[in-house]
Amino acid sequence: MDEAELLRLAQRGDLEAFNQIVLAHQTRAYNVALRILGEGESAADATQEAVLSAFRNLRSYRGGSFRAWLLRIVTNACYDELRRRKRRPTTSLEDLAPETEEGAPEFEEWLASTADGPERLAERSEVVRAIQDCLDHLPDEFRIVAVLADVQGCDYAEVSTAIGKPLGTVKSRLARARARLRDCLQRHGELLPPAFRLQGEASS
Amino acid sequence: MSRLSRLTPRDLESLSAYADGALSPVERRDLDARLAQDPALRQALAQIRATSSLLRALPQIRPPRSFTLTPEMAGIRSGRVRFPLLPMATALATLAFVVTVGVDMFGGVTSNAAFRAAAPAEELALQAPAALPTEAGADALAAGALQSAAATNVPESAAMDAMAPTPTAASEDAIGEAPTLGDVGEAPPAALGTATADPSLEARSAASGGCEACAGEPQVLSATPMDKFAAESGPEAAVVTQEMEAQIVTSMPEATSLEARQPGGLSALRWVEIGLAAVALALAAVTLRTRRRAR
Repeated sequence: MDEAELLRLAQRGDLEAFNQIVLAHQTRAYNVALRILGEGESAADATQEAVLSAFRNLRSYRGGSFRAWLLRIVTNACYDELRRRKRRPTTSLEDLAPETEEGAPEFEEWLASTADGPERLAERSEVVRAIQDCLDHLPDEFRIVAVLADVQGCDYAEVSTAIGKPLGTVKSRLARARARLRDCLQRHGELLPPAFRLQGEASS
Repeated sequence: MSRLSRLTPRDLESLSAYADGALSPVERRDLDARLAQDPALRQALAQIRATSSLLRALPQIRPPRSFTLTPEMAGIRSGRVRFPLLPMATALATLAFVVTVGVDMFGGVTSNAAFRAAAPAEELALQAPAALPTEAGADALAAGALQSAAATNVPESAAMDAMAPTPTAASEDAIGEAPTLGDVGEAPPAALGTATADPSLEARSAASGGCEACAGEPQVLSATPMDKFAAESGPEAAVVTQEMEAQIVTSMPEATSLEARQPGGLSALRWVEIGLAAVALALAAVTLRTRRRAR
């Protein structure tokens, strides 16, 4: 049974059909929440809340990308959680870290020089931590766009649906999010454990 | 050392969209030309691509649990909402059936309480002359034991058969026979009553009530002395009684006595009763099935 058929059934209140759709989307939904919220437990709560809300509002889904429709609900659930948290003043590393010395390896050169490539690199827990830390220091609306477009690989139209903003907003937020992330990762490249850095330098 | 945030917002946006292949053909051609001449711009593009690729390479984490919904979480749509509807409809159909039967019985024979009490006995009394009384009683018992929708029809047809012989003989014998057969006559409804442990049987026991009602009017005709009956019963029954009287006078056998039963026996009300009983039974069956499946 394809998703459209399952959706029709689910819209008529068929919980089993709806749960099949949930199974197909829950990993992505959870990972979006995880990267936006930066922590597993509240990500699971937000995902569960979003799934419930999706079921209750299923009638308001009128075609188009269901994934984007669902991600919008997940995103909103994350916003709710973020509002709930007392938003700490975002003292970004950017403001605290000293200017990078001239001559230090550029983050992207360093990235390119590691034999493993970004996939293997990103499996390393310290790298994941560094990326998450950089995401955490982004303003919410930038982080959400970066997570949807880069982490999850959604196209601009889907991101636009998911955040309920026009394409132009998506483009500009994504560009600024990437610029901030790059600068943050550049500094993290030097903060990474020495062994890791040595490995990067050794292969260059 | 160029920091992306030092680019003009417009260049930054263009490069970012370029990396995603999201520029229009014209925009892309323009940027291609600038990239070819500007190493700093090329470096910025490389930085954007590296950042994006690192983010995309983040492993997907398996969720700690499944987020599928149970009926309770879902607000009970499949569980509780569908349920009260069916039992409610079943109860309503049964109630409508009982009310119709009531109207049928007490509308035709308004105040004769004795009939209500003695109804089953009289039914058998009526059947007595048709054949051996024991046989008739056995038939009625068997019909009751069937406990099915057919229960509405079987006793009725049995009563029809019983009506076949001349009514004069029937009315005379019936009075004598009634007390002795009373016990047997009450057995079928009792058997049904004990079986009502199964929830779906509300409708069935109601149906058995229908059997009593079906048999109710013919009994009235033969078991009671004519004049007394005519005085006590409603207009419909009175008419029937007159017809009976006519038949007795002419001493018409089998066929006409069946006709005499017609006006009271197969009225529109009777069909409504049968229909309602069928609806109530069907609803009860559906209710049970859904309940079983939901568990």
